[in-house]
Amino acid sequence: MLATGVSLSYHLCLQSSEYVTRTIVPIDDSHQFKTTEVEFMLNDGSLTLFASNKLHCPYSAIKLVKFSMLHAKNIRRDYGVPIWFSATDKNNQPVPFVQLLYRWVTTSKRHDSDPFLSFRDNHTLHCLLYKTIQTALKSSAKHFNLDEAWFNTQSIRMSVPTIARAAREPTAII
Amino acid sequence: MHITLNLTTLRLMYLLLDTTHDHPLKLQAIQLARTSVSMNTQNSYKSTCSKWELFFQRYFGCTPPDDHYRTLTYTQFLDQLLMFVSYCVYELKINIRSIPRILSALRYSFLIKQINCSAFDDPFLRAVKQGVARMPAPPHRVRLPCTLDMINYIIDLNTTTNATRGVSLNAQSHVSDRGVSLISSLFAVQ
Repeated sequence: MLATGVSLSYHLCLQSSEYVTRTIVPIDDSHQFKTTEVEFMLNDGSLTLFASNKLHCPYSAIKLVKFSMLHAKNIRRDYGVPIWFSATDKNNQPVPFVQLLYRWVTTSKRHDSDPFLSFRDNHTLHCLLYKTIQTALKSSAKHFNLDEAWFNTQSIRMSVPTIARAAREPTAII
Repeated sequence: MHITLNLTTLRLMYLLLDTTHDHPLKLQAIQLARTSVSMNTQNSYKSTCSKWELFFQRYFGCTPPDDHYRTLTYTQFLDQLLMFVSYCVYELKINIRSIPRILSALRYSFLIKQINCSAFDDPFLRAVKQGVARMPAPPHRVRLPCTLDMINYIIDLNTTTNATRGVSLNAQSHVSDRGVSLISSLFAVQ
């Protein structure tokens, strides 16, 4: 769950509030993806979307994955912004991020109303917590001999390099 | 909390209630006003209320009851707000970037108690806020974005045997060998 959460936040440029919870029992009033807001489209040409907890097929049968992301200022469930990822790249090789996502989807048990990054174990709901992500990022920074104080859950977001790129900063600095 | 009452029940309730009580429709409106800001924001606003209470206890010797504000004149209320801003800046030494949020929180807490908040829009209070904004602020926190290497390191640690519950390579018996080897080779490279 942690690996999927970190990868998801990196590729979707998310802040912690958009994919994890601060509390053990998640509150409705959040940006978290619900299980049904991460959907998969198959290669069969039917254009049908399957909610993430209804997917029962091999990875090779998947064409796309769709995330319905809620606005930072609008958390109405019917106003998600769609973000799509292909299951394979231009060389027809599996995209590692989507593959990791698929593995999470097919190994975790969740109800429709559960957060995407959660699982049920003997009917108990376990969610990915903000603190868990924060600890993982700080220990990763430490591993790379970086000051852990500079890394937090919002550090996954790529806003800084994006802004730097727009400001035409040299790639070395970015 | 949702209030689901039909009109007949509401009318009946109103007749049974003492006239000094709020009409049930008004109670519903108050509830709507409470939800005008998100639950997360409401929770973060709570700390401001405690700052206000501390301020009041320190300078006025008590925590004011809600009806206290209804007897205050506009000028008295404005004075208290001005004092509170100074208290936050000079005594609590709160980051000056937090002052507008603190005042928004305070305004919200008065608003849901149906206390007149027009003093919050007073030009003098606005000038004080602008003055606060011009004070030297502490530097912004340094935050660096994670690199893909860092992300892959976390993924690697958490997709190995006995790692985070819910996903581990050993638990992926039905994932294609090609897929697992691809992820494994990715980690091996990085």
